[in-house]
Amino acid sequence: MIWFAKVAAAVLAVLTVLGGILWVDVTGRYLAASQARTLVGEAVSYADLRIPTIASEDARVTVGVLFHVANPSPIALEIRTISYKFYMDNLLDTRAFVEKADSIYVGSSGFFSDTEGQTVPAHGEGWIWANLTVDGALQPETLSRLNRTFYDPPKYFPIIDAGMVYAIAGTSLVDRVLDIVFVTQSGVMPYDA
Amino acid sequence: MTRDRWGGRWLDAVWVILAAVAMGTFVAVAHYSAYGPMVPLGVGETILAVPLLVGIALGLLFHKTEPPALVLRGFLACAGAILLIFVTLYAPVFAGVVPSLADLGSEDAARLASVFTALFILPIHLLGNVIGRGIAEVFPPTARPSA
Repeated sequence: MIWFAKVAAAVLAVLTVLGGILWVDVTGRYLAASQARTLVGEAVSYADLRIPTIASEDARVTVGVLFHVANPSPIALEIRTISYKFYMDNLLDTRAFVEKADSIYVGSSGFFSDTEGQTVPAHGEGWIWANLTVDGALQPETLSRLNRTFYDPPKYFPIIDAGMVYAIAGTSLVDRVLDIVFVTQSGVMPYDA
Repeated sequence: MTRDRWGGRWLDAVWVILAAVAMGTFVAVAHYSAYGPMVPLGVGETILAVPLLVGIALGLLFHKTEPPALVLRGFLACAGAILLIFVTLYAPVFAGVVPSLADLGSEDAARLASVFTALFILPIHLLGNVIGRGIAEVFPPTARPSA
């Protein structure tokens, strides 16, 4: 083999090896990220919901919502935002949710990260509190909507509609999950009851 | 004699496969810059540079072959590269991670565009073949051993 053919063979071999290394790296991340994007929608849930007993009409009430994010994929996720709308269902109002949503809406809140978000490791779990505060002195109507219990002992019947924005670690991909809905059939006891 | 000929053909096939892998992997990586490759590559620059460089290398390696045979090998290398890009694009489906790429939110038009862009490998690579062969012709015949 003549010298320039040897040089060409060496260049070709180097390019192939470099390309192969880059390809394995990117394809592995592409597969992992695809798996994450497919599975994460089913992996977000509500781990806890804390609504206290409302003692007075001007009370300042903090509702705690604990989100649980399971990451079944082999790549870490960064939770950037979890936002939700909080409703307190009125069981005496028999209209469909869409029709009565405005009248039972309490407020919106969420977890908003100003940096890189909360990391959920690969094959790991993460818990994120996102609290909603209602000040009865400033928002008496909102507090009255929140302070709606049924049965004895009294139970709340909240409805939460959340959405999550997350980034896939090591990539520039940012995706979202919508319609993370919490609805209870049996109601929620005041956590301090 | 026959053994030498078969050995030469196997070696030629190896060069063609290496060329296909080099072009296919680099262009595929450039397409997936969102997935954070170790070296960020631009699609345009990669499609211009890598097939040209690989084409020149193949032109130099196959400097003794007839031009139609060189073009055929270049074409085979490009076909292999485009196949590799296609396999990369559908890797999540082939790996059983997702039933279809639509589940990832990517549009058909975007996927078609990436495969269509990969077709540009062919003319650039063939141009590289011609340039490589031309470079080989520049060197005096005495520098090249007879076949």
